[in-house]
Amino acid sequence: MTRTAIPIDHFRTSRLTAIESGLESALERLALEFPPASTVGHRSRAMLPESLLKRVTDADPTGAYPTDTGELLLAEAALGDADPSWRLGVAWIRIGAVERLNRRATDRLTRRRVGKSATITLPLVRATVGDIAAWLGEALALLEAAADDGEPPAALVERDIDRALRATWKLFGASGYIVDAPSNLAQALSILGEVYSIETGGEL
Amino acid sequence: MTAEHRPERIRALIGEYAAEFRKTALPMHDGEVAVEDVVRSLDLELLRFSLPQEFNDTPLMIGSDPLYVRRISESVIVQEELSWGDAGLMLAMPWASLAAFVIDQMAGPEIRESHYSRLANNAEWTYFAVTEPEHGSDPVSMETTLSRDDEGWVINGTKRYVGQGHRGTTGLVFCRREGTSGPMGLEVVLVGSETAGFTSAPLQTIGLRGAGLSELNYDSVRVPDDHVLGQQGKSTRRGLFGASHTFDMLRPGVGAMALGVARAAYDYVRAERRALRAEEEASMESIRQRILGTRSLIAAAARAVDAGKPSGPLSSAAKLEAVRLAEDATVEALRLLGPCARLEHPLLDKFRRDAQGFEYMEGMTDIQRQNAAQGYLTNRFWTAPTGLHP
Ligand SMILES: Cc1cc2nc3c(=O)[nH]c(=O)nc-3n(C[C@H](O)[C@H](O)[C@H](O)COP(=O)(O)OP(=O)(O)OC[C@H]3O[C@@H](n4cnc5c(N)ncnc54)[C@H](O)[C@@H]3O)c2cc1C
Repeated sequence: MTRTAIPIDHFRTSRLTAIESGLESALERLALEFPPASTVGHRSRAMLPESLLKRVTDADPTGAYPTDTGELLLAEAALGDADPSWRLGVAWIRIGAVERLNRRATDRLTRRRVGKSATITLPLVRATVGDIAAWLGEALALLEAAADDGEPPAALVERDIDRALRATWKLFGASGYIVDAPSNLAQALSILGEVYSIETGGEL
Repeated sequence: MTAEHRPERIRALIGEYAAEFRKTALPMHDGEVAVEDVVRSLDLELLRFSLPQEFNDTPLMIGSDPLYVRRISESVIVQEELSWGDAGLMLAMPWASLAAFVIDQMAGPEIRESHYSRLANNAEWTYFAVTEPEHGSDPVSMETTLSRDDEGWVINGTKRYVGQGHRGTTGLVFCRREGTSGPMGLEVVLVGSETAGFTSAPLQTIGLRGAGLSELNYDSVRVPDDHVLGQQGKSTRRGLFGASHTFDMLRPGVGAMALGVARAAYDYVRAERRALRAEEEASMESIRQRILGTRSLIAAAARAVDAGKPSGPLSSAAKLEAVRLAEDATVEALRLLGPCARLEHPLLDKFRRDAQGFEYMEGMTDIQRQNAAQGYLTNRFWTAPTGLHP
């Protein structure tokens, strides 16, 4: 299995790109340091913006996942072997994209009201945001530490990101259950996490 | 049939329908078959199943016994089983709307009669509209108004995320009587979908597609006097305040549907993964135990309702636990099926999406937590008929 050596700063900037500009730009930035074959994930699947997908397959996409800023395409790709460094980079980006989604949710709850109070001021809502911050913080700290210590505890990092994603998603109320920008981004992030999961459980 | 074996026999009978539900679950989710067509193809007995005896001459039968399900402790069994098959289709059942129960409790005999007669003869839907674009968890702030002019009552406003709104031939609309504030000023009004000024549009959801979420607009919609429900009753039995008792009674049913989805995910893993690592087996065993625990809690809340002493806080706790279980069971099932499970197991992906939807129905988890706490702290949590009263 190929493992491309990547300076941690590259991961850090990819995460910041996800926060500021969205998933497509972040994946494009991350890909700058990787050979095309590295961007193929588990079970020979790739989930990428069109510009990157073209580098790994001519096959027709099997799925299109709109996000809040564009679209990711899913396709089968013959070459590639789920490079662990790329998957680690995707975990950094997923953290950034959950932060982006969270900003959107909390901005919305700042404008929404329950009685006379802004919804964001309710103690239980703030407690949820606190949980999300703790999960994302732990995942990020583990990824930072992995730069020195080697492999991060993959299951924990994935669990932290997924919990933060689910809790953020709920903050949208029913507006997050309608097919629209927030649920699109959340759905794309969930599938992206599967295609490039750093944890590899499953069949014995 | 002895009372003792009745629940198991109901479960077995409805389980057969649930297996039928499963056959259309994915095609309906993927939009390959229309929800309306699937519902209309179902047995009349199932479509009529929760009607009162006087409106139902073709009841479901258990052996030679007719099955009229009017008790909550029995209807939660039906809801759990059918949701195991397909929670979306379960929600598309015309009798699943809260509206039927509110009409039962609050409407006069003529409206009740006409409502049940229509349900008995057609697969017709009724919606129940509380939520607005700007007000969900906080219905008391709703902005849809009911005003009166020389010609009668008029409704103006917008509702969103209303189940079966665009399919409904009638609906119950919650509105604020002009010039009032607080919960007592909220009225519930029956509106026919043919009425001038009413328009509806479907909303696409990520799961539970049978629920038919919709946006509804009321632009100077006129309603006759007797369609403002509960006017003869005490003010505490009217409007949103009156209907909140119905919510307490029906919340265990939402929990039962979430439980059905949790069980579906559990069974899916058992069928797909014959060999499990020790850690995985322990996790599955924990889900199995929680399924039993949640079912018991739902049953306790339902028993309290049937005994005429519903405990809102206990109903909240039942829904809360069921929704958490549905989330954990579906998330864990995807984990146990390994990378790309959402792509390779579309039915499990659908269960996951459906499980998410229960979070919002009848109040979100954090609202239920607060209800349960409030009831517990004021000694209203355990009501005697649950058998759990200290
Ligand atoms: C499948 C489905 C079916 C539905 N069916 C119907 C229907 O038939 N009729 C109908 O009228 N509506 C229906 N709804 C809408 C549902 O009732 C609302 O989604 C729900 O009340 C939450 O409101 P909201 O979406 O506006 O979220 P908000 O109330 O805006 O909540 C946003 C966030 O703030 C939090 N929050 C808000 N208030 C509080 C509080 N007081 N304490 C703590 N946290 C709080 C919530 O937990 C959430 O995280 C349905 C929704 C779904 C998804």
